[in-house]
Amino acid sequence: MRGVIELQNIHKTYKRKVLDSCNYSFPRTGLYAIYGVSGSGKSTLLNIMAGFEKPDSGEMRSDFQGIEYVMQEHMLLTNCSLKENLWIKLNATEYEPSEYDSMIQDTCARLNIGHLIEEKVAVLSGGEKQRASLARALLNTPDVILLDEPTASIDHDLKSDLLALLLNLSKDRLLVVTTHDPLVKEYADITLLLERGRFLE
Amino acid sequence: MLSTIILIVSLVMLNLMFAYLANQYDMINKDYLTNNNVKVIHVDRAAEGDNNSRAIRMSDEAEINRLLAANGLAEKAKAYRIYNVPTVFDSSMKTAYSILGVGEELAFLISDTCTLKDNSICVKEASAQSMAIKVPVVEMKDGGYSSKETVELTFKAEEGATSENAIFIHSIPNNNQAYVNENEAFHLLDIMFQGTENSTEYIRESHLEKIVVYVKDIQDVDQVGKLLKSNRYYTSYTFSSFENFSANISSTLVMLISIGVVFVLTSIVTAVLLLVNYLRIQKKEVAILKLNGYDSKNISRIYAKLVFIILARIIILSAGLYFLSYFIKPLQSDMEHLPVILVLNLFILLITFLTVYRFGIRAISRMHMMDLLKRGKEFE
Repeated sequence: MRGVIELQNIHKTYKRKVLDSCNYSFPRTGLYAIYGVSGSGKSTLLNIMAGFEKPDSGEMRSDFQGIEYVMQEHMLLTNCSLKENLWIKLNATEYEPSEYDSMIQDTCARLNIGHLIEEKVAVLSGGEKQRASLARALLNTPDVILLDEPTASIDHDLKSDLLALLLNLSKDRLLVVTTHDPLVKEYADITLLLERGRFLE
Repeated sequence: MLSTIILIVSLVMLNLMFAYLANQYDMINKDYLTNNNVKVIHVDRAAEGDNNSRAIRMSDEAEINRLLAANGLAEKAKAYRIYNVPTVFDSSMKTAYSILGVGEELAFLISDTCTLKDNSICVKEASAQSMAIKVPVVEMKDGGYSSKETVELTFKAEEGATSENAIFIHSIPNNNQAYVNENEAFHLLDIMFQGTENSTEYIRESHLEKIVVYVKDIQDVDQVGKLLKSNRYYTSYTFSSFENFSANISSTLVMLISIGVVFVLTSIVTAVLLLVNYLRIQKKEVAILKLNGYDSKNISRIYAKLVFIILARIIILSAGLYFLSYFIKPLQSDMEHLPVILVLNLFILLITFLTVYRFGIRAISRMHMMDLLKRGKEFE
């Protein structure tokens, strides 16, 4: 295998053809931005890469230890604190409960949300929720993180901080980001345009 | 929250309704089903010819039992003779007793503690384990009866004979009534009338008080009563004037049980629907758990625990409210039924839980991530 994820002739059709012979090989590290108009199949592609959906034909070959998916809509339990959300995540892993607190502290500190650990998710801002989702993805030290429109619901000033953070994280893992946001291009190592169901680099 | 309130209210309603139905059932049970008074048919005369009647005879017992057998009622009812022994006295000659000779099989009609075995006598209260009575020996004098001597007999004393029992139609103002079995009654009559010229058969026949027919099941009383009437016996029983009384009792019981079953089923269906709906609006949370790496089995376990806790809290709260209703004057619920209500609530909890687990929890925990997210959004 040349990359950590290889897409080979991926086809996916709902009422219309969404992905049509989509091919690409993602390397082990780097920040990859996938652009495309609405309905171009960006989210479908991420769902296939995350294993949530199966392609109609074609093959996705992968060679990673762990993959995490940060959805556009934060997938956090709003009535629970940030710490409780992360604790729930760790509880599904093989880590020892005695390690949970330090892992949560370290990860949140790295994402500048260490001071929000005890806060309920409901009171967090859009940017803070995005970082919280990212913190949850990072807990499992995945090889690959997929992010669907990570800058969609945050203020312009905070976008740069988040993108800088993603760029930093991509030094030792693969980050694939779908976006409409032109600012992401400035930070991405590679920008891919998804058009008519296939990539134009 | 609304679902929880609806469930609690419906369970409290069910508990109060159950208590009401249980009270109704208890009343019917106490007044009719287990009340021996309504199962005894008294026969004291029989019609003879077109316009005449005669006193009941000893041979009528066998005749009635033959009638019952011929009509397939031998296992359901049986006739017994009741003898009246005129006054006897205690050893001090201060207290007079009337004695009834009752078949040993009918001892349970007098008291739970009376056996009416040979050589025993059953009275209201006994001062010792044995009781001596003095039987006056009657002799004919100037065309009437008189007595100058007595014969003392000692019986094993059994106490507990109530003043009102199914042997009597009427209440007894004083309770100096004693009971012996048929053999002892014959023995007392033989001693009492040994000085007369009357034959033993005549004495026994003339002291036959009546015949009672004991019917095991209240539902057969009407049938037995009608059979005796149609065979020219004069009968008296509690509900002889009621039209189809037995059938009415049966239909009342069926109705009470049906209403109870309908209420229980309605509560279970309400609880299941509300909880399944609660699970439907939990789809996003299930999706979050799946995204966090929990598999269907883990999610199913988490939600099973959650639903069980919700149900248990609801049951405890509704049982607690039922308990509180004991102190609210217009309600004043019966605490006697609280254990049964708790068992009923546990039954509802179990059935609801199993149904919700089968049709709600298992289904939602097995749903695909994308379906959970798509449908989850419908509720946002």
